[in-house]
Amino acid sequence: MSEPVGRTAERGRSWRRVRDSRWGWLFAVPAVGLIGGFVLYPAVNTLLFSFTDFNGLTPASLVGLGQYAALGADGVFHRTLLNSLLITGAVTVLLVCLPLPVAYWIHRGIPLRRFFRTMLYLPVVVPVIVSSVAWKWLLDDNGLINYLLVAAGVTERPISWLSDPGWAVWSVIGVIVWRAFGIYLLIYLAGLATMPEEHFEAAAIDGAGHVRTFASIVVPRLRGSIVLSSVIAFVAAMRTFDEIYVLTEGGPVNASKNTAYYIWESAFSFFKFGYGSAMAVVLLLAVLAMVLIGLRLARRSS
Amino acid sequence: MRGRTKQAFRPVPRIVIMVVLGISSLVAIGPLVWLVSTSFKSRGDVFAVPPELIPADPTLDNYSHVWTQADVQQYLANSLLVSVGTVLLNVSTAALLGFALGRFRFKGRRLLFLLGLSTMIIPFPAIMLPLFVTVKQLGLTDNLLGIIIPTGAMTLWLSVYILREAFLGLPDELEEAAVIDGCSPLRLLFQVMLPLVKAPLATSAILVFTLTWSEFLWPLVIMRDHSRFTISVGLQYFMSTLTSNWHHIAAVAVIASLPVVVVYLVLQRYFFSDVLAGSSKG
Amino acid sequence: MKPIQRRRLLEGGVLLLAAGLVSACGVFGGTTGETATSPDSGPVALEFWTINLKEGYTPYIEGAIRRYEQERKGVTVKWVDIPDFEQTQSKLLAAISGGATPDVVNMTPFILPKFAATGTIHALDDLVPDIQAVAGEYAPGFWDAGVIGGKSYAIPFYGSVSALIYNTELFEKAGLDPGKPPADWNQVFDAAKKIREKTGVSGFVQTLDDFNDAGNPSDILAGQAGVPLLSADGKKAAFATPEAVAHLERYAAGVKEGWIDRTSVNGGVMDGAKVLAQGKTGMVFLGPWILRWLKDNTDAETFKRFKVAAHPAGAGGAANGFLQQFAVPKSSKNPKQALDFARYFSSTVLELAKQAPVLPGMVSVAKDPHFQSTPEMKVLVDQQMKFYWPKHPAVGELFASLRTRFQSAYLGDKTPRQALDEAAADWDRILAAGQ
Repeated sequence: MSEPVGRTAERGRSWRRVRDSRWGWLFAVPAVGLIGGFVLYPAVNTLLFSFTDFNGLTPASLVGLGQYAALGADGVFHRTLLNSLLITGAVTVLLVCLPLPVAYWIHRGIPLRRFFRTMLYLPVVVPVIVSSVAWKWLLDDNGLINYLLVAAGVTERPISWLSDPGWAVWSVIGVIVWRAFGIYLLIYLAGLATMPEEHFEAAAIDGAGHVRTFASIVVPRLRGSIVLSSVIAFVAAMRTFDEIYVLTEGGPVNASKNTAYYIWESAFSFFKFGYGSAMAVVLLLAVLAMVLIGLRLARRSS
Repeated sequence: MRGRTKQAFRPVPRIVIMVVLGISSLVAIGPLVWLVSTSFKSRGDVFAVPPELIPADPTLDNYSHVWTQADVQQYLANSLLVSVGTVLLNVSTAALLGFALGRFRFKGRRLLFLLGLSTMIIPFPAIMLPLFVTVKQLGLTDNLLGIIIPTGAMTLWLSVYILREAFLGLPDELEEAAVIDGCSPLRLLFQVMLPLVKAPLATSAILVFTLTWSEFLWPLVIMRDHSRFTISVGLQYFMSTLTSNWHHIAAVAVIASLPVVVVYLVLQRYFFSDVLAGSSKG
Repeated sequence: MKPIQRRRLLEGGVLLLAAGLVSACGVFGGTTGETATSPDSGPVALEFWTINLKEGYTPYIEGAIRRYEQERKGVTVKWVDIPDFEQTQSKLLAAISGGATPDVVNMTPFILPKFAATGTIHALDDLVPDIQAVAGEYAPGFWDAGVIGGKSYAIPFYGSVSALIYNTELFEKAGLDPGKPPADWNQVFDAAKKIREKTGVSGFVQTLDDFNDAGNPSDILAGQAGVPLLSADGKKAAFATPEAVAHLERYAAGVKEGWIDRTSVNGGVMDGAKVLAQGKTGMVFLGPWILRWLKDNTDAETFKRFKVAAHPAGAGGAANGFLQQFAVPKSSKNPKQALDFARYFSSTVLELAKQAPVLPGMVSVAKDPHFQSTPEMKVLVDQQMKFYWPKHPAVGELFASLRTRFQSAYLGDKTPRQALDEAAADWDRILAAGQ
């Protein structure tokens, strides 16, 4: 994340005063109010719940760190953390990398580019629950995908995409990538649209091929968009819920259950709000730690 | 478009790329084609193995059925109000904060930004109950604002992030010139800078619109009155255990998706227009 | 970072925390336990929640409500229909936390025990002078599902019980007599193997979800294998017996060899129904209500192939049942009127049953000739049924454990013996926690 700090040194006095003044906070007031009232404030309640045995219905009593101790011994919770990590890692990598070359091709004027652009965006517009249910049918043992695979001779027996513990989580990942691909394509295309055409002309004059233009001009210049995509993909993947809810319900044998789903299950199916809240706190801390380490590494490398 | 007359790709790579894109497009719209085709099928054709792509006996009955059942029109109107309201709230608030974070050096700005960013990964179920209590206390349980405000808040940092980046990327000369002209920060924002971040604004708007449109858990939990349900909640009526008739689900799904397609088609020119590409150069 | 910023942040944090505490007190303290005590007189507005009846049954519900409002002057009823069973719980929990509960709510035996145990719904004994007289109006099996710890918490609305739905065409192809469907589980397994052998599709689907009248772990253990789920004192799991292991071994073998459909491992009720509709499996064990869905989703020719028969006899002597009940939340301002409405509404089920084959909770309604008019209604009425699931507040968690352990046995990760032992250990832990 670049900061405009250095650039202000030679600024005129009056502008520096404005920039350092409280104007910033003034502009921040509506956003801070919104996020404070409707996200942070409930989240603080969640933090408090995590020290209780709250069941969602009756007054809770304090249990100290009891819920956290129980989490330490809960194998399912550990499994969900690993699954969250896997889903988030795979989804982030795929969604950040795959749309990049596609955006480049479309931006550089491949024929039919507007058609491709629209086709690739369409999955985004269908409500998530509907497209997930459609995929559930397509991925079924007797579904279209297996029908095609068997017909093409790729596999002899249908693949149990949703009921094989090895495949289930990858099916979830695949459906997420399928649905969200268009969003990231859009982000990259918007980034490319602001990129001056001269870069490409200069590269062409230098005799650089597409691979070199892509690697040495597009990727570095799109750094902002790539970081943005990574952040959005990361936070969205961490919260994955709808796809799991529809496709696998976390099964089989918890193979595709992530922490967000387990929190929902604990709280709203098992009435264990205190327990679910403790999970949310642990998840949040784990992610914060990862983000801070990531930032540190990024800073060191740059 | 950009007045590029000569081909950027040589024939062989061009064909390879087009094949790759063609296959990707097929994968992308395959399930949707299936959905649309199902929406025109009569009851018996839905389960045909292998599935028929073009219904043997196309019918509009499914559309007329769902259009009259379960207040689909009301749900659509509510979804539009909610999504537009959420986008307006979200983007306007985020633009102010994004401007502040991108152009001002006030104390605590980095912390504020990171704190906000970290709220985005809180799984929604974890805060749903306390959030319900808050919204109830504000008396918004049967009011579309009860969906708009929390959804706007939950997607806020997405837009803040996008817009902060956008404002950060604008050249410093712009504001120097503005200050020499004696222009206030408000005018700097609204008259000088906002017009230059149209593309990021449109990106935020489209993302928030799409997210809000398909949100179903929260609208279901917070709304009690049927006449306040959104289309994603209404969809559930057709998808739940006892009623999951696929030809009906498909028809509702198509109806529910069309407005988002329109929004995309309307907003897309802001991403790709030459005007935009030109203006940010200078 | 400068120290002053850090202090600011700290102040902010403390403020937020304090605010959180104040609001949390509201959540912790002020939500339940108070029975509103306004008298049952004057104009009364009731709020009434049903589950998934809006699509298709709106005229019935609205008509029934209108008649009630005409009969009881001064009472108005506001109807809210929740799209799906899963979400009733979330919505109800949120509503109770926020003190915005309905007066009459449609529940299932899967969530009723928790609400009863936490005192968030009325024990009906407290609302009427003679609960036994009320109980007498309902089918004993249905009524009993709402009796927890000696008190009655629910008015039965409608129910169903699993039957055998099978594809006659596949039966013929496999050389089985479509007129003589399997009558017990040995015959089911034999028929399934034959179907697999002769036609290549699976013999049956028995999913592991919590949709009570479909196949589920409790039916497999208690209904089919005939082992009790709980010990006599209700404190320990009792299902890890040799009979249960032997039965589960056959399921595991069936999944492995393909005569039990793979959908059984991780699918839900409707996934199983879909496999049947596609002609990809020979049998499912669902309530006859599924016929309505099959009729809506297959062509006339295909639909004719499906037949209903009695649920195969198991060692438990009865099939697992499914029930919709009405409960009255404690926060209702007019609990007596609410109960009156619940009883009234339960008496209108005949209209519902004419659209979908379900069983009424009320004995007098069940006597209607309609319930003898079709084979599927007869199957319903004649079937012995029982609610095998423990009426325990943590029944959802108990169920989830069985589902997961069964899956690991089906997939061959664990032997059926290990799977059942581990499930029993889960149950003992959950039961001991006394949730």
